[in-house]
Amino acid sequence: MHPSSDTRLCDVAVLYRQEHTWLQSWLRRRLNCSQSAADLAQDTFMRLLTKEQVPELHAPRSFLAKVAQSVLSNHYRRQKLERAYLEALAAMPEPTAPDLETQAILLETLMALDAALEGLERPVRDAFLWSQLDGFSHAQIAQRLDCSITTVKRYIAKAGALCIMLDDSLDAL
Amino acid sequence: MKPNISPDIAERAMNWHLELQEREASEETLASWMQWRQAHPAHEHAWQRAEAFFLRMSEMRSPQQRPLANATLRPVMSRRTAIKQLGILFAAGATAWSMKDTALLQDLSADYHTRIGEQRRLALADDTQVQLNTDSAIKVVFERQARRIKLLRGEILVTRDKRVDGFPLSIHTGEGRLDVALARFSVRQRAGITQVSVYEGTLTVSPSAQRQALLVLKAGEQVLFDAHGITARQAIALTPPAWAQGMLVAQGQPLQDFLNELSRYRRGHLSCDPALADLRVSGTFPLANTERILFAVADTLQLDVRQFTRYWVTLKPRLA
Repeated sequence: MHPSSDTRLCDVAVLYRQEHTWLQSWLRRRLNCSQSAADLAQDTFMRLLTKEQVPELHAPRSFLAKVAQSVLSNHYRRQKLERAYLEALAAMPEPTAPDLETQAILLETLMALDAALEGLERPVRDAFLWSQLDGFSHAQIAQRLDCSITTVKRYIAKAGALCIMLDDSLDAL
Repeated sequence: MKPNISPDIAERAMNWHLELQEREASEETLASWMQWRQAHPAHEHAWQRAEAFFLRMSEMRSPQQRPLANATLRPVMSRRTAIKQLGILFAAGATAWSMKDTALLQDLSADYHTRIGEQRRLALADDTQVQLNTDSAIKVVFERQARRIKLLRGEILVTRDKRVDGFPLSIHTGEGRLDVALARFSVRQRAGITQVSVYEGTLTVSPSAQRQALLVLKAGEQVLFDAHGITARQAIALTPPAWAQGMLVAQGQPLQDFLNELSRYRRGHLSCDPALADLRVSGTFPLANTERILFAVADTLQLDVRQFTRYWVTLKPRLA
């Protein structure tokens, strides 16, 4: 059964009114920061709004907690990436660092890439990074992975496809 | 907001991109690629994203961005190893990227040029980076306290950052001179007019017949000037020009202007039927193959490419 988008909005709105405070304190306990907790609570509800369908809720809090858990781990992942980025930036000789505007785009792109590549198998991810980050030829990658060039292309296309599906900001270019 | 892209369409767009990268994509391939793009708006949408995506990836391979991308996307390395390797990666990345054309030049006075369709990077003795666009020529004169580049024709992208030795540099064109300490900018010698675009830092412009009227140009500004002064001024993006990445970018550009631009990168005469001059062209095209750009644009706009000889090409309305 597919609920119409109207009923879905309505369900999420009700859920928001009833459980927003609870969710925020649930998140605050895990984050120790009320600012981020408020942001992530918002993210959690945003995610529900864009979900294909919200299941009928018998236990709304455990459902919310499940969604929030994934928002939370996403948040940690981004934080970790940002830390690695800043450390690398600090280690660069100053005149070679990109300007601030480039950096802002780069960081967003890296986050999008990281999210897209997260679930991929190791060889697919490797093939993609060797090709796009290191500029290796398909033949070089095939040799490294001990597979055919056709397979290498399939891997790159698969990873790239995920990236263009997930990154809306590409439309702005 | 545009609709989402389905996985199979996204993958198809990627496959097309990979296929068109092959050195010799056949006419049949190009035709079926265009057919696919036109078959559904979602196909075109996916293709546009794929193009934007690969452009971003090529920027990410630049020496400024690659170490950062490496450190963040390759978490298998421990952080300490990552930082230890960063210096090495950076050096390797820089060499790989600045390519075979780079030469470290010690000459005090020298001429450099590119042919039509060719680009070249130079590192001058004081570490100023100069990239020559298609069909360009410069004369470099380094004296004890003066660094001069005379732009004889074409276009250059100049990068002077903190590594340079501190002496100011002047660029001389047919219409005047530019003086610069630290900046990133491009200069193009057009017919009777000089075009300057600044991406980082500042520089000054002195038209040759107007020595006292000095103009300061800041990052994000572009001017045209002749010997008597500034004739046009506008704001531009802070990113270096697309040609420096080997790309040609058009955003709703009239066909005639687009062909004029494309002509800079290929030999021979290139024009279109006057009735078509105002058709709009959009897209990001790799400059490596101008023939392919021409056919891609003609196909998108449903035009015929008439080739009288290889060097005389006209776009005409497609015959039914």
